[in-house]
Order: sequence, then structure tokens, then C-alpha cells
Amino acid sequence: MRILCIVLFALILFSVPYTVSAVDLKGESRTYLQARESADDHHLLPLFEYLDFSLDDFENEAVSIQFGGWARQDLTQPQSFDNRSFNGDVQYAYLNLRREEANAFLNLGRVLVYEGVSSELVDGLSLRTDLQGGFGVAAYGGIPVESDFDDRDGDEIYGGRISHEIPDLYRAGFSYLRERNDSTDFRTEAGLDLWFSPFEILEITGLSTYNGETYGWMEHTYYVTLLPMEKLRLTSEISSINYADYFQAVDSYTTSVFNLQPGIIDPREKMLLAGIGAQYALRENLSFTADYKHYDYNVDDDADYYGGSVTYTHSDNMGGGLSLYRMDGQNDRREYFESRLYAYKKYSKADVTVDLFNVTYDKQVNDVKNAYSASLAMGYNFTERARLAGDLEYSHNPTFDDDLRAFLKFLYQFGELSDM
Amino acid sequence: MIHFSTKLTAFGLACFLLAGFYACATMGSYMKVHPVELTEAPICSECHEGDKAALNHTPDYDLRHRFYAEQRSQVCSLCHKESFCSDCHANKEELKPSDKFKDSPKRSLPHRGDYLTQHRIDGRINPAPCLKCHGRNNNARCRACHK
Repeated sequence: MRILCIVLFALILFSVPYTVSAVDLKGESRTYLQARESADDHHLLPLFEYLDFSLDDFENEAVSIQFGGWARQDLTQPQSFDNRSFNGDVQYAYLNLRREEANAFLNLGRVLVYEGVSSELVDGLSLRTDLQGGFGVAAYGGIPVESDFDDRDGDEIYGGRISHEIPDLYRAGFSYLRERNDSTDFRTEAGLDLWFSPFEILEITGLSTYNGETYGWMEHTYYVTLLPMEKLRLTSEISSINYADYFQAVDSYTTSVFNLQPGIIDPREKMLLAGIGAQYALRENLSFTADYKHYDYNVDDDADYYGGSVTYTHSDNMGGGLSLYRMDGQNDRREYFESRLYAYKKYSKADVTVDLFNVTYDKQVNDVKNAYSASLAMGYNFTERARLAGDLEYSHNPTFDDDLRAFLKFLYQFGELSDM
Repeated sequence: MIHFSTKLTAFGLACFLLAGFYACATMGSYMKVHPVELTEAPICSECHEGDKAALNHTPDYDLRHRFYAEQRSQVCSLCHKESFCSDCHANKEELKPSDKFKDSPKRSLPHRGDYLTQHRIDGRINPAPCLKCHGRNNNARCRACHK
């Protein structure tokens, strides 16, 4: 099936220049070289190439090809976790057909689908369009792209979303997802999503998801944002997770840490997170944040997380930030302070960044009280298209006594320039 | 091979109906690319009102960005290339997002610092976000220990 997909994509790719009047190729090559030590003291030197490009019909913008992927070659010995000296992945690769009306598009190939309850990578088809009267509809189907440990025989996924909106007032959607694995039902999920802003100063957004296999709610997560003053932003968050429903779709090919008991995840557990936060911009270049979150568990001990940060910018070329947070749980591992301090300075073509992290545990972990890391990154833009950058990171933590890592990267944009 | 079940047939029918509905639609579309070049972390409300102003990239935006993407990901693609999403949301990935962008300290990236120790804590506090990215995807490194 993969070979078929590759052949299909190649045919589409090479046929586009003959089916559209003129094409525009743009993209970016990112080459990374990382030097680090493995946990068993082996020196690793993996070389990565990330390539993304788009091929657009630039006259009427109706057809495009999108591609993103990476490959890695180990220059010393293979990475210990997969024991392969070469690896790679096609992250996305699809033909996009777009119409000028009704936000309608059709994607064919390896597509990322974000539609309500669905946040999936699929080898197949996705399409959506607006309809009359504020309605919209989206659908997708194909084979789910998942881990290498499971074969794809008997796998399929499909779903869709129906939505309605009154612009600037609300947008709500109902979504559905069905996945079969090895010819057996694996996931059946439905979702309700909402964005609602009855006043300019108030916004509510969130999502509820329902598990059709266990007949229970998996998640309710909602944010309320209030803007009482121009410079003040208040947010509150409420999130509820039912573990038995949320972690139902777990099998031997899923990371075992998510297995329900006798694995690690307790099916009786329910988490309720309630949080509030405030952001205040004292001046255009100086802002403060404060956050508080309370984690309430059905089985486990409750925990609180709170703290704040300050960020400062001096023109576009210099700035920094400082944050300090406290995790206060009734458990040794969940009692710690974490802090971060960073600063950056940009020159005409060069830039320097310093980033410091520290976590101070109330009780030592592996005889370590303070886990910290410090990184120094420097970059130089040779041209608008070419950038060379590198960084060194030193860390001391419960897993590595002294860990020094180096990272070198060369970025090159081709075609029309893009900032993001 | 693919099992062309009745459910997939239903999907095909849904596509057909979708095409039928589409024939009725005569509304405009978003532009393909944002017409004005934006700086990082734009404050959309400087120019827009309503649902577009809600996309202000304030410090808390990373917590909420999934809701906007799951409702209308086309708006994200006005400014972001698809690779911007796949830098974090990947099927298979070997580099931490924060390792790739140490020169972008303001960008909100998961797993900064020593995450080998921290993941044990975060996983106990709320394992749900871990499953999204490391359940049946992007889990080769996880399975080295959690077999």
C-alpha cells in the first residue's frame, strides 16, 4: 500500500506541470547535525535532513502539491532506541485542490486532518466546504498513519464534522471519528466544539469528546477569556478527563505506559483541572503573567501549580524573560520549583540566545536536588535565504550527571521567501 | 489491504452529498496567504475584530491553539506552512521540537530542558496530552523503556 501511495504521489507530482499553466516551487531545506552521548556512554552523531516544499499553480491558486519529510543518517553508531543507522519519514505529502468559493478544498495523499475530535494523520482523502446559511461540512477517510510496530492490514479511519456559525458570535461543530484496526473496531469518538463570544470582551472556547466504545465522556476542556481592560487579559480553564474512557483505545502497539491496569493507568481515575490566569502589559515592551491551576483527582492526591513570569523586549533586537513556578503535590515527586531565564540579542546578521532552566526538587531524585540546563545558541544569516546556527547545551539532572550536547544547523529557503 | 466495508461506502456517499451541497455554495473564501507580512506572535486584534481577533497569539495561545485549528485550520495556513505544525505534531520524530529551535526562546515548545526526568512527573499529573502525540504515533523512543 505504501508503494502504491508513493507511486500515486509521484504521478500526481510530475503531472501537475502539464495540467496547470504555471507553477511556483518554494520550500526549505533544514540540515541538522547533533552530537550527544547516549545513556550507555556511546557518542552519537546523527545527521538529519528536513525538507518541505510546495508546488503551486500561482496564476489561479487552484492546485498545489505539499510535501514535508525527513531522513536521518548516523555518522557514528545507530541510535540505541531503534538500532537503525538510517531512518526517515514522510510527514505529509498531498495534492490540494482549492476553489475560490466557500473555502472548499480537497486534499489527496498523506494529509493532516484537524476537524473537531479528529487530529489525525491519514493516507487518504479529506475535503471540506462552507454551505449556505452558515453551515459547513468536512469529511475524510483512508488508512491511519501510525507506529511502525503494527501492520496496516484491516486498518481504516474515516470521519467528518458538521458546523454552524454566525460570524463573530459563535461557531459550533459536531464531529465523528471511526477507526478500525486489524479489521476490528478500535475507536469510535464523537465531539462537540465551540467558540462563543457574546461580547467583545468575553470568549469561550473548548471541546467535549465522547467515546462510543465505552459509552462515556472522554474529555471536557473549556477556556473562558475576559478582557476587562485593554492591557489586562484574564483566562480560566476547566478540564475533565475520565481515564477509563480516554485510554480505552490502547493495545499492544501503543506505548505500554498508557495501558489501563494491570498497566499504569488507573481506570477509576478522573482528573478535574481548574485554572485561572492573568496577563498584564504594563508597557508595550513589558508584560507580566500569573497562573494558578488546581488538579483534583478521584484516586490520586490533589496538586496545585502556580507561579508567574515577566517578559521584556527592548526594540525588536533584544529581550528576555523570567519565570518561576511551583508544583505543590502531596507526593515527593510533585514538590518542586521550576524556573527559567532567557535572553536574546540580534545584531544585523547575527544573533545570540542564552537559556537557563532549573528545577529544584523538595526531595532528591537519584541523589540530585537541582536539575539544570544551560544553552548558548548563536546564528548568522548569510543571506535572506541561508542561515547557519549552532548551540551548546550543558545539563545536570537525575539521569545524566554531566551532559554536553552540540547542535549545528543550516537552513536554506528556495523559491518565494516565507517567515513561518 | 483496505477493507471496503459498508462504512467506507457510507463515506463515499457522504462525499457525494457533500459535492451536492457544495454546488449550492456561492460564498467567498479566505485568501490563500495573509496579505500583510506578520511578525512573530501577532496581535490580530490590532487590525481585526470578532473571531479573527480571538487568534491573538498571546502567551496563553499555545494552550488554546488546538481548538482554533480543529474548527478552521485553513486560517492557520494563512500564515503558517504545514511544516510549522509537523515540527511538533509528527507521526515519527527523533528530535525534540525544542532542540531544533534553541535560537527561538519565545516560541512555545514542548519538552524544554531535561524532559527525561520531567516526563515522569508530567505523565502522572495529566497523561492525556501524552497519548495524543505518543500513543500509536511517534513512540519509538517511548517504547525503548515502556515496551
